[in-house]
Amino acid sequence: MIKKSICIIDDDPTNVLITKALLNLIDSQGFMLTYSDGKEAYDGLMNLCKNDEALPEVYFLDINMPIWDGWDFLDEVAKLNSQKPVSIFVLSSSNNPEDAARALTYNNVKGYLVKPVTLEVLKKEFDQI
Amino acid sequence: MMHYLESELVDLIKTNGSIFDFIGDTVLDGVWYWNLEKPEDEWMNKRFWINLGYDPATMPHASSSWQRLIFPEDLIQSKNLLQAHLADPHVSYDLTVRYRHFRGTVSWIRFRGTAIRNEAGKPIRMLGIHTDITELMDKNSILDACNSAADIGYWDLDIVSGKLYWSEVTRRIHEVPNDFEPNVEQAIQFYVEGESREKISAAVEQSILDGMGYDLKLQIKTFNGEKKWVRSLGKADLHEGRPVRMYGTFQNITKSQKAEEHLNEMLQVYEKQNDRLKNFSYIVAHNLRTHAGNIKSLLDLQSSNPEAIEVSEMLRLLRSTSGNLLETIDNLTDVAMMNATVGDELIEVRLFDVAESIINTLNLNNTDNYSFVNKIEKEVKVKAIPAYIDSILLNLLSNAQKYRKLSQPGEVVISSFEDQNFVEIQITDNGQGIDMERNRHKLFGMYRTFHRHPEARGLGLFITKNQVEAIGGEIFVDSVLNEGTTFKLKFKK
Repeated sequence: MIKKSICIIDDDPTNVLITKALLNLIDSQGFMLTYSDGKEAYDGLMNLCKNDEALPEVYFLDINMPIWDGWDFLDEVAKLNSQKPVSIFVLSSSNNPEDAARALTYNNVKGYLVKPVTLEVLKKEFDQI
Repeated sequence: MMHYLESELVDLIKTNGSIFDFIGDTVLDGVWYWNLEKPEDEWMNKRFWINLGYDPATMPHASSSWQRLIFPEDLIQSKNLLQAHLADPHVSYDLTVRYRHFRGTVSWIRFRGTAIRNEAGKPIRMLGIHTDITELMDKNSILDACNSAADIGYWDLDIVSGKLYWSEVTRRIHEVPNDFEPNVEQAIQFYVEGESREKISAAVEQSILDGMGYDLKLQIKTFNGEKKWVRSLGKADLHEGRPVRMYGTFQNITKSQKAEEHLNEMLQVYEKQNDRLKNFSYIVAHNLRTHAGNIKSLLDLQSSNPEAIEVSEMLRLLRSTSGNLLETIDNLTDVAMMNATVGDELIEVRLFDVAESIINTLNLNNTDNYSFVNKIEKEVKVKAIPAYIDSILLNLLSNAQKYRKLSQPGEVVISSFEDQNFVEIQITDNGQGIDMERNRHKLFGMYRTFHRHPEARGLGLFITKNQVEAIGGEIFVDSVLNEGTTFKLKFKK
């Protein structure tokens, strides 16, 4: 399996830890970045761009976060109109179908995963990238 | 000079009795001729009796014949008017009385008569005619009943003479005394000054110009000073481009207007409750799931891949997650309880004192000279639940302090404004501010935070808004990122 670089954007440290542990078990990631809200992630990634550093390829994005929530982050990324496709998985506790449908309207969003996500689900999604 | 046809007709009546019969039977509903010198003698034509439902053959030519059938109080009235007419020929004998028809129904009869006098000027005979106006009166009484039931009156203005007529119901809606004589200027003055009066004046002027009607919902202040909502319709009649008459209807719609307002208020209450419920179910679906999901993930990992996370780390995470779960449940219980205690009685609270005491508390922990400026008018009082006012002001003031800018001295100013029904409190800080474009819709939502602060829980503004609305107030916010925030609170006086 080709290793992918990962970015986790979530304000809940426990969840970040769980996601990391699951990804470790799949043994699929290259380097990994974590941010605790949408704004922090956006600023951090823009900095990487400026310095010509490599950007992560796969993103796990929480919805309910302070400053910029997941929607704000998706809106701002869409505005960049970047040529380089990124794969974003929305990872949220909300099992509201409206949230899932809304997430899938974004081109960059490859899937909507409801927490708690299992190893099997994560593996399956990863294999499809 | 008499027209030749008129003199011919007069002659014809004299010579040919059928002409007189024709007039008496067709044009009139009864003719009577009364001997004032011998008052029991009175001749009535056949039509007189047929009109009242009786067989003329059975009715003697005596005044007592009809005096048994007329309503007693109307008989007295007719006798009084007769006396006046006999005494002074300028008093016309013309009145409307009620008869009991043979069927038992009421017949409305218009009496008109004239005394015939001898050479000495003494009245010796009385000639009278009947006109039956029962049909008209019945229709009128139905109309009156409808008008009265619908609280709808009418008015009629003779523009040439300037005389304004108000129907009974119109007078009743205005609550004017019996001797009140309306005129146009007064009628306009009954409309509440400002929008209502301006609208009616403009509508009347326009209608006089173009003859088109108007239909307006306006407010009046009655003779007794009571405010009412009315629907006012009017239209001018033009003759050769000039207004000659104006008329319209006037309906009291206060009840339906109030019902509509009440309905709207109820709708708003339900909409707010619905929003709270939605919010609540979203929180239950989202935040409780977050913690429960974390616990499940950790336990799943532990059983399937024990080496993924160390046992001591696993226990630490489980402990903090279960703590978070419990806290969320407690918060939800608090919110549910708060919505349930809205029935509490509101009492007067002096805002200046509340703000002072909160500022004193906050100053105890004030290590970096954050300044609170209390400019609330000392006498200002609002109707509220005191515990809510404490909580609302404490939350907003401690927020101002918590989210201050570290680069400059922090300050928050609390001021008050009053109008007739409300007190407005303004709380303005020079803190970090909030990005309103991004956050306007979620500012007062539950579990929403807008700054990276270790103590931000996303509950304060949610609870504050709930408390403000529970005591009938409103809360607004305006903010500029990096400049500061202003909260405006409106409370009932």
